Amino acid sequence: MTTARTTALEVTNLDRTFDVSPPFLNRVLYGQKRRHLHAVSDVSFSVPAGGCMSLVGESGCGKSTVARLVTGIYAPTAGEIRFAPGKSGAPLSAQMIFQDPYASLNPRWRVKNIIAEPLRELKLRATEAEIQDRVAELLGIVGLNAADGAKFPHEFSGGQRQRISIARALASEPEFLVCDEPTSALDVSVQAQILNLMRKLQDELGLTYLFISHDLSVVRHMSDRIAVMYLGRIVEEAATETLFADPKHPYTRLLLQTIPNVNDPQRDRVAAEGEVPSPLNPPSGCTFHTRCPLATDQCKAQRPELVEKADGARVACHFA
Amino acid sequence: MDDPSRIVQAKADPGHNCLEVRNLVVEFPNRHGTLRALDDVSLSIRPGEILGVVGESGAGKSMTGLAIQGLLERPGRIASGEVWLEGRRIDGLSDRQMEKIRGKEIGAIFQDPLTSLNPLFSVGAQLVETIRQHMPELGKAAARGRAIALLKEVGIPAPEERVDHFPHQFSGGMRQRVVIALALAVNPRLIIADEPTTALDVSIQAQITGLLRRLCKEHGTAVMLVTHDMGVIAETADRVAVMYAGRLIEIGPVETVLKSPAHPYTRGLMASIPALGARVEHLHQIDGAMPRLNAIPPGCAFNPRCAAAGPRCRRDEPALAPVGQGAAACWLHEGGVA
Repeated sequence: MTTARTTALEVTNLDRTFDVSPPFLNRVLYGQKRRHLHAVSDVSFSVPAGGCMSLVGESGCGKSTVARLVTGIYAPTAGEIRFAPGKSGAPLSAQMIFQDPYASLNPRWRVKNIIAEPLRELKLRATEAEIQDRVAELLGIVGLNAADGAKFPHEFSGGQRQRISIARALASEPEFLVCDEPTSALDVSVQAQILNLMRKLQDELGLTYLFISHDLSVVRHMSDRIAVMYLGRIVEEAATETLFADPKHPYTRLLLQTIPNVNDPQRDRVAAEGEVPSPLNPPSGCTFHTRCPLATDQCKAQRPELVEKADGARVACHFA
Repeated sequence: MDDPSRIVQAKADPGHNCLEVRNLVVEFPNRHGTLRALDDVSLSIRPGEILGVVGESGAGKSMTGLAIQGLLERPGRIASGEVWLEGRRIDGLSDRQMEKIRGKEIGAIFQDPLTSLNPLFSVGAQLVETIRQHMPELGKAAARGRAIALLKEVGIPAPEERVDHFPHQFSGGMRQRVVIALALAVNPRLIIADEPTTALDVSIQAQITGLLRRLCKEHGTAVMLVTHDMGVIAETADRVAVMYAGRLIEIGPVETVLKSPAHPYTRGLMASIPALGARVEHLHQIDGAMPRLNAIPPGCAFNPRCAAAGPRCRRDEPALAPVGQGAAACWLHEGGVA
């Protein structure tokens, strides 16, 4: 991690809606209305160069949508995504590592071709020999053998496949990696290998990460800053240690309380009731008020703004 | 019958085991030879006890649950060993006899609540079907009353209305509660829960594990909780069995196994979980991956990844031997020399 912190990525007031309307005929014949899903609303954050920013939240909170917006897979409905200039002067290039290493590698391609594809597509190497050299080098970087390039994805275990995904992502020498749940399909002993590899690559190649996960213990291990999302909005954003030591939003506290802790199990805990409401029909005011122990009439009527506190944390809660 | 507190009668008797598995071997013969998916697995569960079974994918934890329920897919078969449920031997029973046991004496909860419910029938219809299948003496109205009481018992609000709803009208957590109600429908003595919380969010996960614990304690049902999540085990199970490459390598009370694991694999596994308490620069990692079933090394299956492995580990397979309050299959604990 570098000491001089410039901003690598600046996201401001990002919005994304999806049209989930019923088909045209249903609308005409049955008078059904158009419906829009507000997946991401007014999300702003910045990622320092060489750092790791994490987005956490439960399924449906919009964290993966943010990842796809940042990599350009989706276009934002409103708002701005701005990458800082990289080493070459052009904006930083971003690459993505996906959750499921079984689905994200083409089973009919040899590994060397999977990794070489970005090199060939972007014409990053002039000759075939140079491409093969680079592939061998990349396999070495992620801890695989150069000879493994001749194999097919099914010949590898889940952890090794995730290494191949990482090698492919690194092929175009990106300075920014978006990792969408990179270890949640892996077993714990393998998860540790991948997390260690990602930390090592960050130090050696000066990478910046945007890390998406639902697992707070993994997030704590990887990140410098954490943003907690709920129903498409950031409800709290703080430096990792601040967030764990002094969680300010009731939802963050709920998340921290409910993770099963191996070292300090709480077997008699009373689990918080309620579930995440449908993002198609979010509650009024503060969207968390339906599950919040502190909720008042003000919370039902008025949405709290994300406000910066003295310790640098940003919280969206009337009572924080 | 409508009193929810009496819906599952407790028959707690700590003296005997509800489930006993002895030296279970499951094999899958194929063209190239025979794969041994489970190798000499022995375990037991007492009434009212939750036994956690952990391991990585492919370790054989789900296979153990399927073998107990007689749900092995052909050509898989129990090659040797015994399964005893409430003093009755149930391996080798015919499919028809097993059908009577499944649902009535063994309840099953699977990982994905959406695929274990039929989308075309209301949850009430599915509950009533199960109830009447195994309790033919109940009339339609009584079975429906019991279905409503079961939904209430598993914490579904407004059960009188919800009983007529279809699975897609429930959220993930509520759906898993319906699956639990189905598993409980006819007072099973044993519940096999295979990754019951894996498809759920953390805040819902805590609700479901809490529900499982409460039902298990209140009704004296034995629970086999299969999961890969050590956190869930730590907060839910009474005892834990650790599996690796189709073998049981450690078993014991949950505090002992998690706090002071005896087997090097369990030790490595515990150390590789990122701690919530403090941040470390480098996570402990176990290099390599679990061997495939067709390439299990001779001796201890863990020896290629084990830092403490000696010549004996590469030659002879260790048996489960008592260590402290539990048992582990490791040569280090037998005479201390690998």
